[in-house]
Amino acid sequence: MQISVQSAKQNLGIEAAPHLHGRLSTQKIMALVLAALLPAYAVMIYFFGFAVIWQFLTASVTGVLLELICALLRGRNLRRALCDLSVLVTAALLALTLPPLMPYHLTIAAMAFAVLVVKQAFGGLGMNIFNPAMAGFIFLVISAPGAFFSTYIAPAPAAITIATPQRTAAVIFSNASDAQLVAEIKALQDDPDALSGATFLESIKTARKAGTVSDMAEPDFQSSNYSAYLYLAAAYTLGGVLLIACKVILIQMPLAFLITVAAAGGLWHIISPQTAISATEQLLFGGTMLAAFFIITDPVTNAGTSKGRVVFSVLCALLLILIRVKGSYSDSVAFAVLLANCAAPLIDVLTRRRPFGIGYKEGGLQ
Amino acid sequence: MKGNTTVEGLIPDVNKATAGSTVSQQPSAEKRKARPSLISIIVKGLWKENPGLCQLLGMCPLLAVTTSAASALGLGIATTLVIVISSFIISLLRAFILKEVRIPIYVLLIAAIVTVVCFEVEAYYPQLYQQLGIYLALIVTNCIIMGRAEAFAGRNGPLAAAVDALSCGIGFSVVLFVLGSLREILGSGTFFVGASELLGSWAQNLEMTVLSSDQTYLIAILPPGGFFLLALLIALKNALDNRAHNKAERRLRIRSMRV
Repeated sequence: MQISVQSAKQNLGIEAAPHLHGRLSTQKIMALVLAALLPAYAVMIYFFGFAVIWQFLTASVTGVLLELICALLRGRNLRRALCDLSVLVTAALLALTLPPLMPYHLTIAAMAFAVLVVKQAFGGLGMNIFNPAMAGFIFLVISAPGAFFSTYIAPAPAAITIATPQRTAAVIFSNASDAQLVAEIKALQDDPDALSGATFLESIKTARKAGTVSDMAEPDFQSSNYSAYLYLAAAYTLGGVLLIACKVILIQMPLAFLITVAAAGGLWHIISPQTAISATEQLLFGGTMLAAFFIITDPVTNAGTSKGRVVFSVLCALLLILIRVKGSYSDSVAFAVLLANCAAPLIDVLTRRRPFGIGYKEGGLQ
Repeated sequence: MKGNTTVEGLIPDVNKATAGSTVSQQPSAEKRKARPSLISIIVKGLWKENPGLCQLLGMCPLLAVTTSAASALGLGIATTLVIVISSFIISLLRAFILKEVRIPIYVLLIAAIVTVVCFEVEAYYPQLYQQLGIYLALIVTNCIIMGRAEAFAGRNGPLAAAVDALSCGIGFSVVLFVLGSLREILGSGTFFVGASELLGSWAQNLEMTVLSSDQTYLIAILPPGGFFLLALLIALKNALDNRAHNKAERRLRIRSMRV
């Protein structure tokens, strides 16, 4: 009904005046983010199979329907509620983070949680405290840990030839067994038995607890077992460069984030190689690259000031390394992002810039 | 909205009683206030000022014990028992309790009653005792009991105090039971497991499996799930209470101003 104080603050950031009018609208920003995700989707389809598209479709249909219902209940303009495309970005990010063969009802539950509880309960677009995609992911990690072990695909080149639309649809929507499909894709790898778990971070979890990480074979990113991660990182970087070029995100944020991850991860690896993986592995495995360009740069849930955004990225990266080395879940990006989201308002206050002419000490300006 | 009125109604009374200088004004204030009818007391305790949904007192047991319907009901019954006995006794003794030291006296009385109930449960329902754990003994610090003693029993007759305590206790137990059932169904897929230990062997028929294990959401029996479901229950209650107001507002809305 009315634009509240908080939303105005969020829109303008809390930088002091003067402000310039940006030509980018919310709709354009969201469309650019979706376009920037295209290379990542192409790589995902080639190495992980068609399932990721089904996940995206399930999540976006759920999200759009729920947005419509919320707009109806709150008496908002229906067209405006749908045209901002933000729900599609949430769906796209959620589909990238979830295991590709996740049963459809769990994807729907995660998306419903993201839209209803995390976004709309706090007041809709621009008012949410937490990143909806990451919160939806955590909801599933905590609620259905069993599904995460079985539905993840170990990537292999040309997995699309096996994970065709029909076969993945059968697994996702009609509850067919996924073991056969996962095994066939794994057989495409050079060395299918290299890992005990589905992903590298999952396999490293037990070794981390036992303190035997350095005994594990070093992953070779040229081999077909791990090349997917290299290409995926390159695709995310390409998308990120597009966003930076269009001035949607600040270049300082991903830069500070990746440098901190590399530095802190590398330092921990040098100090205790038995419990921590190397900096390259920290950067390329899990959701680090996705988070650097698409998650922590979410304009709503990070800090409002330019300096604060860098602080936010560094904090998020430190939390990521800490939880990844010490935590009991295989990947920690989502947890780190949500914890940093909690700190964002405080960072805003602490990094507020002094407006010109205000707050000078007595005698300083005469 | 409703919750606020309750708390505001409570605080001035407490302040009045604690400030020594205003003791002389109190009888006149009490005389002016019409004595509430028993029906209105019951409605207040069960719905209007429900301890679980409006006063938001006793959150610790409310969220910690409601992982299953049976333990929630057990704690609800124990709390109701303690609150009725303590309110009744405090109301009987209110003429002898000095205003200045009433809080220690209340605490001693409540602690004695909780100890008795605790031993009783340990003797007759050992499984329930183990399930509830520390929260049974912690009833002594439950704010609802102190709140009823301070806000109602200390200034009303024994019958009114007992009715008020009973309705508040039942209101709290119902919230506990609903929350416990929802969390148990969503989180473990079962309903009322352990009812026979609590209610006797006839309750065996009540225990059932609602959802298969791959349809459950584990988060519901974890602390965040408790907060989510409690928030949804409070939202539901507020929506029911403000139904007429919301409808009127919707009618007055200017359609062209939709944002």
